[in-house]
Amino acid sequence: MDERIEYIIRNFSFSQLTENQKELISEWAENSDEFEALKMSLTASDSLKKSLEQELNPVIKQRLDVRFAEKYNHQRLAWYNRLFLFLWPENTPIYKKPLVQFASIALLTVITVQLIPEQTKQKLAFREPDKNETIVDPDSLAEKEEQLKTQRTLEVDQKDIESGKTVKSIDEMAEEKLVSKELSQPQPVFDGFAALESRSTDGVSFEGYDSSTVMDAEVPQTTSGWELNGQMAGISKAKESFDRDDSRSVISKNRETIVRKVQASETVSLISALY
Amino acid sequence: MRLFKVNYQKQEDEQLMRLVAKGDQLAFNEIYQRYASRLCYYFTRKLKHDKEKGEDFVHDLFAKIIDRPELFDPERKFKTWIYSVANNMCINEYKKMAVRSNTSGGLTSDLPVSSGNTSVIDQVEENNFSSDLERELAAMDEKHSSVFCLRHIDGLSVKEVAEVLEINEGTVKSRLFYAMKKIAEALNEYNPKLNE
Repeated sequence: MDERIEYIIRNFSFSQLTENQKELISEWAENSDEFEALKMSLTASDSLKKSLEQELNPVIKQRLDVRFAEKYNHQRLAWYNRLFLFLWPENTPIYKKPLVQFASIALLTVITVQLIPEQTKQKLAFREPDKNETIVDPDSLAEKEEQLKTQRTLEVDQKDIESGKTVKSIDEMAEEKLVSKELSQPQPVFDGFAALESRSTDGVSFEGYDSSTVMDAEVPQTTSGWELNGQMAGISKAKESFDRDDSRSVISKNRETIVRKVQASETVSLISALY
Repeated sequence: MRLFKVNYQKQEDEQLMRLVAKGDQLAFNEIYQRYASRLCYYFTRKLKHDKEKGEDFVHDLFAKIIDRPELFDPERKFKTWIYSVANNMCINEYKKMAVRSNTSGGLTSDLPVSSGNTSVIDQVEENNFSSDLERELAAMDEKHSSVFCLRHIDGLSVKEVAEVLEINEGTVKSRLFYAMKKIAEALNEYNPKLNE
């Protein structure tokens, strides 16, 4: 039976049919009785179809479900399948799936962790100072540091200058003392020279100095004992002051790591002054 | 992996079978929902109205789908395929029944096998359309009744019926015409015009 014929039989009565429709169904139904019989046959088949949908033993389905589970469940026994089924269960809305929920929680955590340090920084920036606490401007601190640095360098320069003067004054003082002793009495020359020698042991070296010439020189015999004692006391005082000044100069020199050398001309002039 | 829920009711039979082959239980449920009752009736009618046997055959058929879903050729239409399988199962059963009848000492297989549990309600509904139709189909020749059932109860087209039964479309049409006329004559007694 053609679908068009079936449609006509189901939906029309024989009296409603046009000539074309009657011609179309003429093979199946020539009169209204046959037409109604066909209509009832189709209605009966429809009712039979509906009744069949309700008649089925549920045990069959249960047995088939068991069989299906036996066939396919071994594939799901793998842990990752079970995990996936847990994380992404079927027949649930996407927002109810645990994987989506875990991901959203992780995202929120990451966002919060990134935001928290910024908030603390802001709080630190706007923290109210204590009453005893003085607020220090970082710019002014930097300026102060620069000032301190410049001050230190100035002090160091000043000390350098001072230390330079001391050395000079020591030389001058030693020269003056020795010259004055030579002019007054020739004996202290030896002690002065010894003082100079001790000075050389303190780190000052002499260039072009020959001690044999000094040793070969005649020592005058005219000096009396009390005069010698007085001279020695004066020389020791000078030596003490010299040592004090010299130690200061050496410290300053060590600090500067500069070793000052006595020029040969100075030594020659000193020796000539001694003799 | 599917991001959204699959609406199985809107899926084609062939697509559902692909899902069944992947182990989708819900797809199998949908296939069962669509065809189980019709096939049960098909088997029951073909197997001399033995309902229990019909249910067993339904179970066996769906068990085949579970065990070997690859037997279904996706190039074919599922409805045609499953009714072909059902038809072949019935033919095999006929052969077995024929062997049994030869060894059963004179009992013939032509006698309709009935469950024998005809309820009172069924007896009351004897005058109903569907029961009369069923009775008429049972009395009708197998080749005519099967064509009628496949066409009007199972909803197959003439071409599909021809494929299932492996006959020409013309043969299907002629058998269908004969079955329709026969049933119409049987049901004509319910014609209100005749009763007036």
